[in-house]
Formats: sequence, structure tokens, C-alpha cells
Amino acid sequence: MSFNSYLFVFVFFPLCMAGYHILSRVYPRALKLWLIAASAVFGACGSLPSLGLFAVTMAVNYGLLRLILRRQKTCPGEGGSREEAGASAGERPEISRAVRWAVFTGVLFNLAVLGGFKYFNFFAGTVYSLLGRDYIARHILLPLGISYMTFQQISLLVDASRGELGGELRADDYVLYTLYFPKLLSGPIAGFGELRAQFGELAERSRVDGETFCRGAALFIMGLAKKCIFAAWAQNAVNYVYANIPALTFGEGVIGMLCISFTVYYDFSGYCDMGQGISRMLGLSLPVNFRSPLKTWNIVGYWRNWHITLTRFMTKYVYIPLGGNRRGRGRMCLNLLLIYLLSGLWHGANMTFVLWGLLNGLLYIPVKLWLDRRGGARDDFGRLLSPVKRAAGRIGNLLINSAIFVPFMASSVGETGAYFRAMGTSAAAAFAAGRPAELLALHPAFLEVFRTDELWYALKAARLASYAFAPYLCLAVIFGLLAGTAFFAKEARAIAEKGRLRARNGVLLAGLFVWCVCTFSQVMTFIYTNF
Amino acid sequence: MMREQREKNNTEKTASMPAQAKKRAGTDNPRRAAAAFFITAFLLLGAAAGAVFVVDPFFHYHAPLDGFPYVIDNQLAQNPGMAAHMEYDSVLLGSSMTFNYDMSWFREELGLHTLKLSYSGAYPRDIYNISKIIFDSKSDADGVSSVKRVFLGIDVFSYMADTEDIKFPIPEYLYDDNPLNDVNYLLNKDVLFQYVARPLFDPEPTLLDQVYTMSWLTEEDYSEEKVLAGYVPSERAAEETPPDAYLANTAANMEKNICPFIAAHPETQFTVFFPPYSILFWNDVLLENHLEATLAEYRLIAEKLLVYDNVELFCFPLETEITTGLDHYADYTHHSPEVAHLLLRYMETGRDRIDSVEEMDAAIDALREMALEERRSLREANSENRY
Repeated sequence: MSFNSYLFVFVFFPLCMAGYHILSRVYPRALKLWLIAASAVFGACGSLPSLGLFAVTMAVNYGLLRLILRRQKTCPGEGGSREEAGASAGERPEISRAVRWAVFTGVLFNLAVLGGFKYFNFFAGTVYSLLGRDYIARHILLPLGISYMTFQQISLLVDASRGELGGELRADDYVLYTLYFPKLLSGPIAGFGELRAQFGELAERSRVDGETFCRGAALFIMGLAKKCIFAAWAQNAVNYVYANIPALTFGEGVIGMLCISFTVYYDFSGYCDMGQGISRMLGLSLPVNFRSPLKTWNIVGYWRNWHITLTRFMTKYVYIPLGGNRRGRGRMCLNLLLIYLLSGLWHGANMTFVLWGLLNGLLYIPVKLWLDRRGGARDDFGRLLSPVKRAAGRIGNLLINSAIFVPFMASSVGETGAYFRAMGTSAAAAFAAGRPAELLALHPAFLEVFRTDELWYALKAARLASYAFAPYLCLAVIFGLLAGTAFFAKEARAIAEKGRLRARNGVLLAGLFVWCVCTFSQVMTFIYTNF
Repeated sequence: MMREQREKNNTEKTASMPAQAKKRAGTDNPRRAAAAFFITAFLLLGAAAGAVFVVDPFFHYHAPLDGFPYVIDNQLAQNPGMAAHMEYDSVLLGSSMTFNYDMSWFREELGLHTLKLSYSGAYPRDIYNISKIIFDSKSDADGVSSVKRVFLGIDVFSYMADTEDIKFPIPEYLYDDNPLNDVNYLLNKDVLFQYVARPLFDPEPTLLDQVYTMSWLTEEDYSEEKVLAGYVPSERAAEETPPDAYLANTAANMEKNICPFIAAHPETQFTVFFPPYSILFWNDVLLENHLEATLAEYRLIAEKLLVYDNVELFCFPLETEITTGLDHYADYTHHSPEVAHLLLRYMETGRDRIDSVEEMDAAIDALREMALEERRSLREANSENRY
């Protein structure tokens, strides 16, 4: 079950909310249990075996956590909280060997689970390939949300060893933190401390006033629209370009690349907005994961505002322990490259993701070095630049990041190469023929991708359908909405927070909601002449 | 008391705000916004579901409405509804090899009201799925069916699939009796926009007689030149596939997916035919080195069918005048509507009918000889040894 499903919108969500808010008034002590049960049902509807696996991993992790905390209590000074160890601010208490072993075991266990379920076929296939042998992939269940689950458990173990949990570890808090359904499948990677404090105040927080609830609902609906409408529009173009690589023109390649960026951005940020919106309706809050990354003017700013919690995790638990930037510039560059390679691999079990990570790292490092040398205040969005430089920077940054995204959506490294080769061939042919305008040539079938059902009716109503420019108009409208929203619109969070709660907006949101609901199911079409 | 406290807090907050913010705060009305949201959403969802239910473009609930310009172009979605709610006394089942049959021929020449319920690339399980709906909805309480005749095209290659395999994922909600999952149909933008609203804006109703025909192909597309231009021979296989390699699955498919309907409905005549693929198909069979395994499948299927009195079996690959004339084809398998019409006439006259396993054995010998002979001719005609 995902947020954009009939089951969630019409059954799970209303029941969950109704039960939650009734308990909030009648028996607040059961709120945590209610959320745990709801989260378990949510997880089970997605995949019952996944839930079973999570139960096992939670049992192991919780046991290790209790071991760590018990060790710290019985041996003060050996880890534990800073106050217990008498450490001053900024000074981390020494961690005992037993605690280190517990953390090491836990990290290894979690990585083994992740590796076994997600990466076994990838690693085995790579080894077989290097040995020049064929590998038949095994059918292995991929538990939903396992990547997020793993990172959250690792962060919990490490934070516990450093005395950074911010209080005792209750079993119900731990289970709810792990399974909390608004973040279960696609994050954000929330720290335990971020949520534990809120869980402790559930009775008060659950008494959500009408305004907060409405704003949470508005955020949920806007997130739904980003995923179901915007991401879907962009995905149509992405599907086309990958299915037609040999015939790809330069123009189609560029638009396709940009649509890849839009697809990933709207899909992922939309899902995060939905999780945040649901949490608001529950009186809770999740960490922000996106802050208009497509408005940034360089890759460093981009990654500061894209999948923020992943960057935060990698920085805190990988980059800094490796030395960060404290061991010289060369080591810093190596650490950064490693971070991006790991990030790439974390996203998927395929060399294309490793390539994506590598390209990010190779671009990130020189830009970071340049920005560090340049100095000045942090300015991710180019507000300190002139309007021309800001626009050029934003467009250039989007183009570069979009190009880097090509392997992210490709099925193989070869397909990535073929994509760019096709673009190059098309461009070379255009220049060789002395017709550079052909760089912008687009096949009718590609343009057709942008003629959505909604636009079909709009063109009919405006009596423009029969004009030759009609397909280009559709491209302009769809692409304009995708790019315009990404570049100029306020974030959904800001709109939800500051928008007017009026009847008119209620009507608009209802229209948007119904539009999204009607996209949950599609009619499959296919080519007739398959044998 | 909590509410009073909140209102007091709000009042105190408002009192300390600048005037413009006060004005803005004063116009915010969560209750009214929520009421507007729910009423609008309810009305819109109701309208969407209602429109789909009333028009019912996939015939999931009722027969077509008179006068509505239905578009019928989606086998996976519309076949089950057509089978359940349309009027017919016979059906045409099979893969895209049955697409070019015109239902008016059945009506005018055979006096049958035939409905085409084919699926592109149909596997035996696809045939089972639609057959179940046909016979469940057209049988009385005693299980006697009103379906007089089933015309079934069998593509042997599909019968080596697993008995549960289907060619494409089907919209389960249109194939089962679960009303709860009908939400996938009733609140579906594609259904609403493409099958309810668009026919009203741009009426181009599908004629049932020509449903699913390859109407995008013109006479010029059926030509040897075009067939050969688009033909890519299979990779040569060094090792011959054992003759019994496909038999287990073929037998299982016949026993599970096809024969139960024949056995359960002796009142229905099953006219089963093997479509005539072109010689290029047989060329591929030889290149892939599984001629005997393929012929063994033909024999097994015939064996399974000929035990039933209500089956007549036709072996059209024997029509070498058709199969060797690539001008009859649009590609290496799909023949023209003219050939389809001819085959229907053969089904009526009994030409190429197989009445016994012995006759099937003779047919198989003829097919073997034909395949080898035609491949020799093909290679001689094409000196670059492409074939």
C-alpha cells in the first residue's frame, strides 16, 4: 500500500485518523499503540514478509541497543551521555570496547540484511561477470523500505553509543520510530531524537486544531499532485526517450534529461510532502527532505537541498568518522568521492547507480573546492548573484544535474552511453548538414507524449486541435508547468503553511484531490501485433 | 476548556498583530474550507463514478447503451465485459492471428452472431480466463450454454508456457466478482477521459464487426517486399531441441485451460484451427532447431482435441499456396483479411479438416516436408545465406 492508492486514501487513512483523534480525546495513553498498530498494518499491506523481516531486525537491534545502554549505565565514563561522563560541550565521551563491539555487530548485521536482500544478485553478478561466467539472478524478496530502515537502525546504534539518544530508550518509542508509516517506505531518514521527543508529547500534540489539520491535509494533497500528476507527466517523456534511444534526437535527449530530473524530484519530494502532511494531521513533524533543490545554482547547493536527510546521514556517520575535511584536502576529496559512491549504490543495486554517484562526486569536488576558495556567505540559491548570473547558474545547474541523472533511470551503463551517443550523432548530423536548427527537431511520437487527456480537451474546446502547432503547444504547456513550478513556485510546505483557509481554496484542493485519485488506476494499452 | 483556551490565545495573538495580518487571519475559516473540500470532493467523485457506471464503457455492469458511440479497442479491459453482457451465440477466440476476421462474414455466411474476444499474444490461460466468463454468463442453471459455436485459433508456441502464465497483466477488477475493487474502474481518469468523454466530443464508434482488426494496415502493407524487409531470421541453434521438450506443458495447458470447457459443454461446437503462418515462420523453426518438437506439439494438441465429439479441427499450415505466398502477409505470421475469409470458408466446407490422429500424422509429415522444401527454396533464392 502506498499513499497514492485507493486503499490508503479511502480506507486506511480515514480509519487511522478517526481512531487517532478519538483516542486523543478519550484515551490518550493508547495513542502510541494505535500508531504502532496502524504502521504495522500499513507495512503488512505493502508486504507481509517485509514486516516479518523488520520484526526480526528490530528484535536484534533493540537487543543490541539495550546492551549498549546497559553498558553505559553500569560503566559511567565509558560512553553514555555527556553529562554522565562529565564531558564538556563538543567533547565526545570515550566509548568502551564492549559498546564498540555492540555497535560494530549491529552495523554489520544491518548491512548484511540490506546486502543480502538488496545487493546479493548485484554483487554475485558482478563477481561472475569479472570471472567471465554467466550468472542467473536468484529470486530474492526485496523488503519495501529496507534501505531507509537500515540507515535508521545504524544511526540509532551509533547515536546510542555516543550518548546522543536524548533520554531512555522505551520499546514502544523504538518500535514506533522504526515503523512510523509516514516515513516507512521512502523516508526521510529521521533521527531517533527528532521523533522520540514528539512521541513523548503525543497526548498534547495529538490535539490538533482545525487549522493545523487543514494545512496538513493541504500539504498531503499537494504532495499527491506532485507525484500523481507532475511526476507522471514527466515520466511519460522519460519512458519515451529510453524506449527510443537509437532514434533519439538532440532536442529529445535534452528534454528527456530534464524530464528525468523532474520525474525524480516531483515523485520523491511529493512523497515526502505527503508524509509530512500526514504527520501534521497527527500533530507530529518529520524532518524536511527537499528545499527547492532545482532552484540552486551549483551542485554543492543542490546536494544541500536535495534528499537532505541522506546527506545528513552520510555526513554524520560516514564522512566525519572518515575524517571529513580535517585531514587535508586530498583526504577530503577522497571522502567525498566515497560518500557519493555509497550514496549511488544505496539508491539501487546496479552499476548505473554507482555511475550516477561517481558522476556526482566527480562534479561535486571541484565545485566545492572552488566555492571554498571563493569564500563568501553560503548562497545556495544565488540570491547574492546578479539576476543574469543567477538564472544562468540555475539553468546550467539543472542541465548538468539532469545529464548526471541519465544513468539513474537507465537499465544499464551501456544504455547510458547509447543515450548520449544518440544525442551526439543527431547533433553531428545537424551540423554536418548545415542545419543547426535540427538540433531542436522532435518526432511527432515524442510530441504526442505531452498531449495529455486534459490537454486534448483543452485544445478541442479552444478549437486549436487541428493546427500544426498544437503538439508544440502541449509540449510548451506541460514542460512549462514542470519547469516553471520547479523554478518559480513556492514550496508546497510554504503554500500549505501560509495559504488562506477559505472555501474557495477548499474547492480547489478538492478538485486537485479528485484529479489525483482518478490517476491511481490506469488503463493499459499495448501493441496489437505481438504474436 | 481547551477550545476556550485556544480561542483566547488566538484572540490575544490577533490583537497583537499588524492590521493586514489581522485582516488575513479574520478571513481564514478552517471549518468552511474543510466543508467546501468535502462537499466538492464528494460531488466530483460521485459524478466521475456515476458517469462511468452509467455509460459503462467496459460493459462491466450492463450491455452497451443504445446510441452511445462506444470505442472498443482494449482487449484486456473490454473483452470480459463484452463476454458477460453482450448478445451473441458464438465467439472467436485466439491471438492476433484472429484479428483480421470480420464478424459480418460469420453472420452472412454462417448465420451466426459471433463476437470476437481475441487477445494479442494470447496464452492458453488467457483463453481460459475469457472462456470462463463466456460460459459462466451464457449458461443456465443446469450448466447448458447458449453458445452454439466457439472458433478457436491455437498458436502452438503459446502452449509451451506455464499453465498460469498470461501474456499481459490483466485488470483483475474487471475479471472477478469483487465489487470493492471496482473503484479501479469507477474512479479511473483513463476510463473517464478516453472512453466516456472523448467519444462524446469526437464520436468514432467502433463497429463490432471489425473490432480489433489491423485496420492500420492497408493492401500495400501485405506484400512480400515489406515482409522480407522487416524479417530478421532467428539465431541458429547448434543443438536440436528434444522432440518431447514442449509436451509436458502443452499437455498441461490443454488439460487445464482448454479441454475442460469442451468437456463441460457438449452442446457447443468447438471449431479449432491451427493458423497458417508463412514459410518464414518455419524457417525460424528450422534455424532454432526445434522442428520435431514443434510438430510434436501439433500432434499432441490434435490428440487431446480429437477425443471430443463436439470438436472439429483444421490444420491450415497445410495450405502451402497461402503460406508460400508472402504477398498474403504483413509480417512472418499475420496474414491478410482475404486469407482469413478464405479460411472461414474452408472451415465451412471442411477443407483441411483433421478427423483422426492418423490424419494428423499425415499432416505432420506433409508439414515437415513443406518446411524443409521451402527452406531450401528460400536459401536458393537468397544467395547471401541469410536464411
